[in-house]
Amino acid sequence: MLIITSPARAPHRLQCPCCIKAAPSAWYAAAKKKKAAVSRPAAKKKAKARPKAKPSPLRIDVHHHIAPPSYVQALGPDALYNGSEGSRRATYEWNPGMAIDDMDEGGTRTAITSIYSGSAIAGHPDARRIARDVNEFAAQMARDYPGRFGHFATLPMPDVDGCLEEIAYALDVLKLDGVDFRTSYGKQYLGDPAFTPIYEELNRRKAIVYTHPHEPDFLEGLIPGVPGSAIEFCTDTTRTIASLVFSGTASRFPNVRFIFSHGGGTMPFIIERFTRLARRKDLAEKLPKGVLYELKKFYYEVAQAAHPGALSSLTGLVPLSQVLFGTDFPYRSAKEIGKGLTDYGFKGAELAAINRGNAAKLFPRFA
Amino acid sequence: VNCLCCLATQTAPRRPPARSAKPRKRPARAVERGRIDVHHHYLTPAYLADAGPLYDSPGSVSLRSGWSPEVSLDMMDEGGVATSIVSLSSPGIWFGDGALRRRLARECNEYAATMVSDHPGRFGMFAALPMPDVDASLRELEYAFDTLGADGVGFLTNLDGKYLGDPLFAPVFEELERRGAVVYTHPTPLEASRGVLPGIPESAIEFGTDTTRTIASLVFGGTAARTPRVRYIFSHAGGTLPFIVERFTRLARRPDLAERLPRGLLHELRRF
Repeated sequence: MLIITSPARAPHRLQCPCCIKAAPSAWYAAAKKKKAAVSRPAAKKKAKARPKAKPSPLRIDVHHHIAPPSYVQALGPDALYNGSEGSRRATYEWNPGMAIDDMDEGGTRTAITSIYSGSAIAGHPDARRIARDVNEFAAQMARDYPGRFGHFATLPMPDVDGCLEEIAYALDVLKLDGVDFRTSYGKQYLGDPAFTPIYEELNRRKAIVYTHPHEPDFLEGLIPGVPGSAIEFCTDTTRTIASLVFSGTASRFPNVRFIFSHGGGTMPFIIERFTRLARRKDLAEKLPKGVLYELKKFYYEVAQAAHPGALSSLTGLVPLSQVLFGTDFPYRSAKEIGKGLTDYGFKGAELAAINRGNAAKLFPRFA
Repeated sequence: VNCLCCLATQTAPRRPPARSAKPRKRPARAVERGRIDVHHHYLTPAYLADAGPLYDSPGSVSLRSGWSPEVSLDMMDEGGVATSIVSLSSPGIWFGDGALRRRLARECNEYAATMVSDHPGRFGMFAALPMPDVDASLRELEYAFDTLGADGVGFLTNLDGKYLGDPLFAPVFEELERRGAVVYTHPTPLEASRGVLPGIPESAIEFGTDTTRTIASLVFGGTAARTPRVRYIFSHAGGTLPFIVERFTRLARRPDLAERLPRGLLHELRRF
């Protein structure tokens, strides 16, 4: 087992990215070589320097980004870097050791990862190849750090045929943990009828769908100086939830388990808009079990939402069994989000369920 | 009346409107102790002639077809509302050209002032201003406050896609600051997001987020800090802001934005 305990010792991006494109093995060869160069006493010293911690909550983080070098190279750093500190860390510094460090510090046992800034793949001419490379990389990472990483398969959305092919490969061959959708592709939200073949396949497989928001291109730059992540990301999650429930997708494919980021975007705060709208006859027909049934069946992770404003609305709407731990690493740390949960007042069995128990049921291989 | 907006947000402002200080005949004791509804819509026949076709959501269709001040009064009596401060709903007067906006602003404000005087104690009014024409807005503002006795102004969250902290509106906010006015805001969908989800009305999702956007524009653009005497009222409990407030508090640490918030972001959000 390869353990890289600090970014200083972690394998940084290899100098020549051409050599390692789509080849995680080269990455790991370099990592192992570097690891061998680290003297044992130094490693022990580092371990001793850490204060004695409480027993680890063994968190399962379902919102955790990776940025493999082949991915950054394929899309170009300019397409990924948005000027923020978290983005800089993701685009220019990310490596598995950095993730492990944050996980160890914040009591995370396992991170189910998703690609950083994955909207950049949508519509890319090499989307299928890029998605495959990311998935191969993630699978290799999972093998190299047993029990520490899973991955929501990166898909070449909105290319339906390409997605179906990648779903089969990612879930059957690579044994990944689910699939990763963005909240929208252009003006296509996740309930768009074009995606029906994908949901048929995911429903058959009882798959997990993780969704990550972004700023739709038709809403860019609305308020000078305010980045899209501040407002537009959150609302895009709400839009895609509306699209899934009111198109009937959620009720037609009951075996698919959806996870929404950031506590459901903004949906729990404006829930009454949803429940009132669901009375409309044409929409009620698509929701035979009711809109609340579907909303309470979805899962919601708490990255950037581990504060009273969000948690009070979310837990007022859905049972605690639907709330999952998430960090948005490298934007936020496991420690920060963990603190947000305890500050809110979660403790005991409730805290354990959010930290680990609820996710362990979804991902039995990490239970 | 089945307006989606009116029913949920019947909260009292921090101060009673200036008008309530005037001696008036109160129809009943219950009304005297009743609610003050700060989010209550009205329409005028002249306004409907121009804006009617834009009123196309289910709630606003019923508003369009059957509203009169008496309908409002019946509903207020039924719900224990003593006074409603009336304002225009989306799209307000912010469509068409400048001349139309100036005419509609004046007509609507005079109509609302008549409601106020016809039913003493039962209505107040948030005046409409013909933005983005700043000079005409300043003239209407003076008329609405000094002649009609308006209780504040009513803006939509974006006016032609510009949010309220836009530098274009600065002279109007300066005047509102000088007067220590109340500014009420009502959401309206951004043109770019119209019809983004087929079959889902804009009020379901786009309204909420547009209030959040205009709050962001006011705080991060510096208008909020520059207008400490203006009392802001946001509809629907702040759109979606309280749910995503951590995004705001983290963003406010950025030096260029922190400079515009000398008393801090939370100071502004908590005084709204």
